[in-house]
Amino acid sequence: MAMTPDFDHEHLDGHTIQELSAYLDAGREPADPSIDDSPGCRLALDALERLHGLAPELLQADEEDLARVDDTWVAAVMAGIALDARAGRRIPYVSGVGDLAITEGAVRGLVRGAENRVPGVLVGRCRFEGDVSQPGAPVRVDVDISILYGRPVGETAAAVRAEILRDLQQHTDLAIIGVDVRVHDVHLLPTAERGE
Amino acid sequence: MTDQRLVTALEAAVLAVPGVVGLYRSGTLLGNALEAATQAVGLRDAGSRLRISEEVERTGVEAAIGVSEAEAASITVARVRDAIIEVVAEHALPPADVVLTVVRVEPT
Repeated sequence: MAMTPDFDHEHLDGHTIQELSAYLDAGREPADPSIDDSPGCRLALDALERLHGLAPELLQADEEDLARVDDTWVAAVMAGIALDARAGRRIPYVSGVGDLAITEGAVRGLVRGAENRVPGVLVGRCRFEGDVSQPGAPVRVDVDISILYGRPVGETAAAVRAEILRDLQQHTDLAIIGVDVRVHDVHLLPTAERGE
Repeated sequence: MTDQRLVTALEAAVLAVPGVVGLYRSGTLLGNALEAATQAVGLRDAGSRLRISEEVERTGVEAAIGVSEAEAASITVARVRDAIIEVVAEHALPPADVVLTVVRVEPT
């Protein structure tokens, strides 16, 4: 697998995405407080767990098919998870008392969580266009997704958009003016690659 | 030095709020590294995940929390704020000035 960039260490409290993947594979045993007590690591583990959850669908392909899965693409997905785990900007809640907010990283985690509820989807790059640090400022969400071969593209993208919007409305005070879901690729498509 | 009983009471109150799944050290990697250094030389209590500043007119309390996806994060964070205000009042300290950040929403 290709190396992921060095920003892992900065965003994952000194760990790499590969270390977190190995930790997940080991059933999070023995417990490592430097991982378990790190919000960035926990966000990355959430995403890695969903990525691992796609394994049954991958296993439907034979070994030759799996070998065709592009290592560069997998590395990019892993790097994206590490990058998204950074805390980012503080997104305020409308509150008369106290200074209450949610981090951009936590919100990106919410967006990625759409993978949980829409089968066969992997969320890639996620960007918030607008000044999320200003209450009431209009914000547009721009998300790239990959879809497993065989899923209806339009229907799946619409389901992802609805899930993201619902989650953001439930857990943030962002003034969302739109959620743009771009199907970046239809991936892990072994039979299609052979033209069958 | 912050009263350890206050720290313990605040941490317990935060973690007892329905929907809270974690209490994390707030700040950046660099900040946390510096903090670890200050703990090493005894300038801050080891193990505390809250930042507390006791001043004449206010009691600053800063925390980073993880919340469950099962309930709206805004509701949970408001409950945590109220719990902190209550604990600070119970300790007869100046009013709480609360800074709370949700750093993770745990999938259900």
